[in-house]
Amino acid sequence: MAHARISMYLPPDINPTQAAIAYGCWALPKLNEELQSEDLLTRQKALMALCDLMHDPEHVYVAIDTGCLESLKALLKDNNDMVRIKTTEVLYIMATHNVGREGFLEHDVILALSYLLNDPQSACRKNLHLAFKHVAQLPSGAQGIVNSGLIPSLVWKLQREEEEIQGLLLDTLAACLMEDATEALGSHVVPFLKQKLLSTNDDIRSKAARTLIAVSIPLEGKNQVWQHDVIPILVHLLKDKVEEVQANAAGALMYATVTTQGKYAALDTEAIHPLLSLLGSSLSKARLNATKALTMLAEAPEGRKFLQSRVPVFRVLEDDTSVAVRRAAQIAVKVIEWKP
Amino acid sequence: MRRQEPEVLLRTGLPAKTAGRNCQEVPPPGGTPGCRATAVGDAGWLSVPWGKPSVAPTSCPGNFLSRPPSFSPPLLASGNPCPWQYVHLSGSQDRLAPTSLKAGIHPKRSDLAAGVASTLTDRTSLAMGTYTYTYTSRPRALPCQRRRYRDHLMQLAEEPVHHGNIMYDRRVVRGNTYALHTGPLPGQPDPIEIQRQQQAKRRALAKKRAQEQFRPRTPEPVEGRKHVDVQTEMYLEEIADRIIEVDVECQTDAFLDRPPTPLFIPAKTGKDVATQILEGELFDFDLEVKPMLEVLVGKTIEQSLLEVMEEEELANLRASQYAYEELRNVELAEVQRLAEQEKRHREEKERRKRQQWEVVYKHGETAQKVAARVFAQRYLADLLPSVFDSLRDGGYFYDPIERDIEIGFLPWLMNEVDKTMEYSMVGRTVLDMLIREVVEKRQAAYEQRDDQPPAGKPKDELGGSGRTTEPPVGYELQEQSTAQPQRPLLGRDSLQRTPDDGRYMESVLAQETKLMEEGEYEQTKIRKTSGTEVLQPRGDFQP
Repeated sequence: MAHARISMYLPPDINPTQAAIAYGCWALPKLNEELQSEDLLTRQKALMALCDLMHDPEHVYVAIDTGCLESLKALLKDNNDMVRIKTTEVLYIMATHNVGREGFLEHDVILALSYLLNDPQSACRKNLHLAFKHVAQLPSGAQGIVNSGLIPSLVWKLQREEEEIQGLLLDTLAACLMEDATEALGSHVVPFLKQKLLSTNDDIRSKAARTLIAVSIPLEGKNQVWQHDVIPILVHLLKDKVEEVQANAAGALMYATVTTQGKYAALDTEAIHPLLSLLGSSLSKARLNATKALTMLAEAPEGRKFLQSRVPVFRVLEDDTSVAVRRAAQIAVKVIEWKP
Repeated sequence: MRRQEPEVLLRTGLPAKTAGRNCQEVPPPGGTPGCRATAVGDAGWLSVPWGKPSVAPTSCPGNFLSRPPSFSPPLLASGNPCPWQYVHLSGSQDRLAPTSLKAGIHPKRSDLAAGVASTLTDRTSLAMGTYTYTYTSRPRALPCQRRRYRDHLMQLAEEPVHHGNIMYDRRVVRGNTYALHTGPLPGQPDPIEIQRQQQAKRRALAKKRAQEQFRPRTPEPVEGRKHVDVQTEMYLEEIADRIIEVDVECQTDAFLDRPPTPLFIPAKTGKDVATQILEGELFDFDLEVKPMLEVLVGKTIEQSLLEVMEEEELANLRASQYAYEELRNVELAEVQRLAEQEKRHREEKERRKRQQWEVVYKHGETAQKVAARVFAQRYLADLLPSVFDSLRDGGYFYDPIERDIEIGFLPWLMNEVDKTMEYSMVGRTVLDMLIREVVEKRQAAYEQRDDQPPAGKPKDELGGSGRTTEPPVGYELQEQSTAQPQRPLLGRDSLQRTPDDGRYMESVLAQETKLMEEGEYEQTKIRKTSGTEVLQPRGDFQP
């Protein structure tokens, strides 16, 4: 039977680190006020509560509506490490939702976040880069990142950061460079990526190759790729153990060999054999990229000559499961059998 | 606090009895264990509120008994000196009654706030009307001075402060005040009282002496005998002058620390009633807990679901993005490839076209060149002979010997001829000069001979014009040669200017020339020719 005595202990599932969340629609305005308070503890508790709430997209919308972003931006410049880490975490969670991303773009959060690129806390930087990565998934977000001139600093950071964060950076860069690669090309992204291609971490290699794909879309990128002798490395990566790396390397080659110089560079490094072996890969992406790369190489007379004997392989590919692969195989056959 | 003093003293008379009474009586249930001087209550000064009955009376007696002795000194000493007590007693009484005001009794204090009294009197009139009152010093309960325990260095505030109870305060006058035994004031003995006391003492003494006399005594001892006191008990007792002193020491214990307050467990009051709740009577736990559990579990699951869904959504998004990216890449690559191909083909075409065009151009140019060449050849075919001809005509082809002769030899020849002519001319001139001199001399001689015949002029003229023979001769000859029809006019004109001279000269010259011509016809001819030739030296050589 319960005692009539009131216990001195708090109920067991109260989280002392979190602020109390008000009921219903008062939750977010109250948290917003608490975020602006002078007391450190209040701010921290409010941030922790906000972290939990932001998983719900409706709350994200309400938060942005009530102007939480402004207070969060102010908190980014706080002296306390914990506050900054938590703020970046909240922002990262918000960025996983589309509403959040849109809000970021409207309220210039990207610029405010960029001040923390050199933050001493690695957790803070990690959250920051996660937020960037998610923002970059949106095309207008990627455009926003490019417009705020962050690309050179991000590229430069590629050298400095730890591996985990490098992976995130590469993701962000890949998405941004799909939009606009000119700035990055001007800031030596190709040599950096070349180094990353030789990294021991599988993840980093595959992400670096993916970023290279994005880099070599514009003509300037292709030229730089050829100039920095990245093509031999890519050909080497075609024989990598990890399939994802192979696929991405094939993709990068596919773009780099569009130019004549690229074609001949690839042919010089015997790219055809690995590419042919990739045609039998399990990843459809790998098959697709390899087919396309071979198509590029078949434009050159030497390539065509060599590939004419391999046309049956392509015929087989024409019965592939993926529509894209089928189409690519048809095009490849057409190109190989073209007579001037 | 003048008014209050009489109150206090009036009461002290009573408590002398009451205190004694209270010693024996069981203390009233609400009796105060400690000495608490309570403040006079709200109503009159007779309704004294009792002290707080918080502690059980069982702990009272010990304290209680010890209380009166402590209170006696103030009584005996007739503590509070208030010399004006008697003076004002009668006067104050009537004033005290209507003052049903709150007044605090401060038994300890001798120097009480005098202002209270004055305010009392001052405000009585006011108080009747307005019933507002402000204290100069507020009434307060006075704490008991007797300490039971050692003072804590840090006096805890929670410990109850023992207040003296006014009921047991000897200094408080109790009972009726109209027939109080006003004993002698402490500290100031009354002379009448002293006298009376002394008398009483003397009388007592006298009475005692008198009584002593009438007491039966033992008879006097017989002669020779002495009464001796002897002890007849079984045991002898030593009787000594020395008073048996027994040392009794009393020592107060050191002040103990106040023991911790025992936990207060209130006395059980009321009736004990027991109930028993059988199973299922109150409520069904499972039923009641269900909604709460639902909410709790539901909220947790909702949150976690949200997060998981988020993750899943993100993963799906990423997967679809990758797929899209693949396709996009492939398409883009295809586009670029085709574009590249296009470009190459176009470039190739351009190149070939250009080549072709160049070829055609060259072809045309060559044809033109050939035609031009042929034409030129033909045109220039007879150029050479004509050129040669014209050159030859122009004298560019010369016979070197001939040229040499013409250039070298003939000028030399002419020079020589000239020289020769010069010589002859010079000779002639010399001759002329000679002749002139001779003539002049002759003329002079003639003039000397005959000054009258003025025929010397012509000789003068001859001589004078000897020098100018040549040009006039030339001129003359030219005139002759060129202007034949005009000659007579011009010649006459010129001659008429220097008519005489010219004519004479002419005649003389003509004569002379005729002479000379006669002599040397060739020379004159040559002179003429030379003269003409001098004038037109090249005339022969240049057609």
